[in-house]
Amino acid sequence: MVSSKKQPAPLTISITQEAVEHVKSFASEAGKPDSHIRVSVKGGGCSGLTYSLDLVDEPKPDDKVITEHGLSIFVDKKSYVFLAGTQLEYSGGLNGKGFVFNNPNAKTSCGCGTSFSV
Amino acid sequence: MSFKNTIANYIPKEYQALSKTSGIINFPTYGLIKFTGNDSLDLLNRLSTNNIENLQINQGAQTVITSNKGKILDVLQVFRTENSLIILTSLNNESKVIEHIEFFTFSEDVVVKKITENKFVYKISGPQSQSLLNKLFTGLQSHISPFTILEASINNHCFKIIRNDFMRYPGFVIIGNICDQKILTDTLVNIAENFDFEFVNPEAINAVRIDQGIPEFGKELTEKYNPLEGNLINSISFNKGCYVGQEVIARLNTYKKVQNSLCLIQFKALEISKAPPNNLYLKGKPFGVLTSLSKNDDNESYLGLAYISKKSTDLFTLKNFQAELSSKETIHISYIKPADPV
Repeated sequence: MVSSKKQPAPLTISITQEAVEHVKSFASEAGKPDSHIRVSVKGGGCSGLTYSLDLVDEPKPDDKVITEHGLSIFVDKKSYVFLAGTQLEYSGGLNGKGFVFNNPNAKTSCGCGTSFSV
Repeated sequence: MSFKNTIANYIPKEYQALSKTSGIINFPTYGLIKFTGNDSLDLLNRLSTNNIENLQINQGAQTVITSNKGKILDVLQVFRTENSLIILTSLNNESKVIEHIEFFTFSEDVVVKKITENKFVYKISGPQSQSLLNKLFTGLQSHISPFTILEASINNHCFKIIRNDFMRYPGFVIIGNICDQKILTDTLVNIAENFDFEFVNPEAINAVRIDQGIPEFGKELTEKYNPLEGNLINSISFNKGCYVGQEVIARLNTYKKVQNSLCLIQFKALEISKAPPNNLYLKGKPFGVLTSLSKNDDNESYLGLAYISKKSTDLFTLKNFQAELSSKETIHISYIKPADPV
């Protein structure tokens, strides 16, 4: 008998179509239209940890590589522990926040939203 | 056994040395960490309260590492040398500091290493301590500025000299390799006849520390308190940007929500059965915590450090009033006054 119970989605990092378009737009403006993004965590935000986004050409040897909507996302192993399950989206408009990390691991976030604790 | 009987008597000779001539502390009081790598200064700047990002070679600063709730994890003294950062931690706390740094290290180019076991540390405090250093070491400049690190030698054996005024008097830290400790000790013995200094013990240091209102790690500086309560405002930059705990500390300061004030308290008591921390009560209501204690030179009264609740700061205007300790003894308080920031 096959259980009808829905299996939880695998923990990965996802990115919305709109966020991908903005990444590609930034990459073109930077003169690197074929680049990908590195998503990482740095120590030292006001809540303890800070998100970091960088345009890069290729992954590092131990990086986890996730491809969605034609964009590759590179994440180092230690950052992945804190980011698994995160959806990266883009909040545009005059009152928008830019790239937003919806991170289910974050217990608290600071006022500016770029820093979190687990 | 009464705790009162275990408090050492006032030590005039050693106290005088630390405050009037020069007192030498020749037992461990710091942990030592060597921090290397291109990102070491940037990472430490992101993890602590002071702005140390632009520290120059041979310069140092005091900075506080805090939890994400803004509580004190340790007070560090960070000195930049040509190839590394030398970090003085509180005694026996270097492993915790290293663990904290490593938790927040992701892709940074850093190597953090405990070096306490390979080194010895002497400290000298008192108005004549610079002269004493000049007697000990050859070629040392006659005035070393606060928060400077430099090298000096005795017979080609190299030592690091740090000025950090740890007791508010001119104060220096000498760091050397374990194998060179005898050379320093022998040199001290050789100049002892012609120079006024004393080796001091922990009780004398405690007496001067309390008299000067200097908080100590494990007593006043614990994870219960934040750096603003611990009188460490001079080690906090309010415009450096983010660091762990920054938002909480900035909010406490901006909205004046700091709960406790670190104070000097002088009182008389017939009996004290419990060592600090000891809660303070006025007519049954708590108003603070006694955290450190030493006997005064009259041998009858005590001087202590206490966190006093900000709701009870009207007590600063009172003289000679009665209060109680959590251990039920009555104490006769001469005064309570805020200690100066360190």
